[in-house]
Amino acid sequence: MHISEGVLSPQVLACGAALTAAGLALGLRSLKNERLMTVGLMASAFFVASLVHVPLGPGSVHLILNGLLGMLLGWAAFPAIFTALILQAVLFQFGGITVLGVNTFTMALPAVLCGLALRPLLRREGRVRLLAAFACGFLSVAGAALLTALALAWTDEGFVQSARILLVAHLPVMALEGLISAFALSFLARVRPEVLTLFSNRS
Amino acid sequence: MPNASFSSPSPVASPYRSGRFLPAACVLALCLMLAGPAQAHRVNIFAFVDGTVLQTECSFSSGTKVQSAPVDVLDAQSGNLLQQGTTDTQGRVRFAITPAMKAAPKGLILRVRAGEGHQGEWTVEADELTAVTVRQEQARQAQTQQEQAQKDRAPQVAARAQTAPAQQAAGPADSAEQIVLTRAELQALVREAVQTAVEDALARSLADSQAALATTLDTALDTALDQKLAPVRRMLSEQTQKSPGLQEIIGGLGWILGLVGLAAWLRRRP
Repeated sequence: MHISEGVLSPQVLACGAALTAAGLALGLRSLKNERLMTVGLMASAFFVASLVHVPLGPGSVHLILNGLLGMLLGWAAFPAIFTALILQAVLFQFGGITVLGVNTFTMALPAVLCGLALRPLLRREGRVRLLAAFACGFLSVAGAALLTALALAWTDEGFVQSARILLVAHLPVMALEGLISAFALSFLARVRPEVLTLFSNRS
Repeated sequence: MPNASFSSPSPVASPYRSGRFLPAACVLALCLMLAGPAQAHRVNIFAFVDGTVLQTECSFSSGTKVQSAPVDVLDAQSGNLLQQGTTDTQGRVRFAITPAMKAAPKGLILRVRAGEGHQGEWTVEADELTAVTVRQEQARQAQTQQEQAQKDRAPQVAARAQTAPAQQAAGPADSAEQIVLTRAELQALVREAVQTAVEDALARSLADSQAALATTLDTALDTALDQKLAPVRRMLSEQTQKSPGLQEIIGGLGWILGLVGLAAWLRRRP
């Protein structure tokens, strides 16, 4: 899901940077001081997640965890993902600095939207909440694949081909991330039930 | 009384006490780290000059080879496409070095396009290619010298063969100035002539064989060096294609924690 340096045109890069700047502003404004550590921990999880790979046929794909961040952080997922992506670009040479805006936006926006849309269901008890968490993890990766394909629409690969390849390649990741999101939420509900107040108190 | 309410263990009182969240997050991060090393979508490309061929290797950061992906050879200065190839199942492509590639003033850029926005680049410096030019040039010069020498020798031998009987024939015809030679004098003359001819021929063949030896040595050195350098090249290639290690991971996590601390300090309430 990390688009490399030098693939996209300057227009697409500028567009991504502007959208990410807006997302960052929203995220930083909504970020409460007492939640800073949570954001940091989730950014760490995202930073490490891309090193976990799922073998798949001849190649393999890596975890993204954007759905988990969107679910737990809301708009604050933008600064968390942005920070993690900078460090991945500098330390691992995944993606790149100029593509940072596009990569942040493609991974953060679907996650934030899924988290916000599913919030009413995440408030419920029991199985509905688990299913909502699964859907959040699943759909966030699918959305990220679609947005990445959209960013690639102006390269010679085109939207339809990129979207098909990315969606098919990430199907196992979507399922896995759904499971991870559901597991993480049920774990948090047991260990720190106050986290769930998120879904009722805050916007 | 305020003390009592402060110490009451209400679970909702401070929702983001990190005491219980931190171990859970650490366990999660550890699980993630131990789950397996490194595939993320970085594409590595590595190229080196092998004799008169540009050998290229492409792989993902996990070590998976990049198969049947297009590789472009570009002029680093103008960005013109000079050659194009496709990786095999081992992620390798070989490009024959063309004059256009050698003429590139700032060297070459090799770009592999692995699809879905994955791309990697490698720069081949111009002097790596000029070494090839010099080597090819030397080989060509040596060959032409040899050919020239052979060509030169043929007419000279023929000329000598012609002049010798002519001189002999001229001897008796020039009756006005007959020179009488003793047997010893004749022997000395003949010996001298034979000696110079032999020395001449020896010098020539020595020069020829020196040139031939130089080329043989050059090629032998090249092959020997290529063989000796193969492990070094492999190490270099592995170095450039190394997946992120523990140092980078821990460094990144430290950075995130540091940034959180910085943000907390900046947002502190006075």
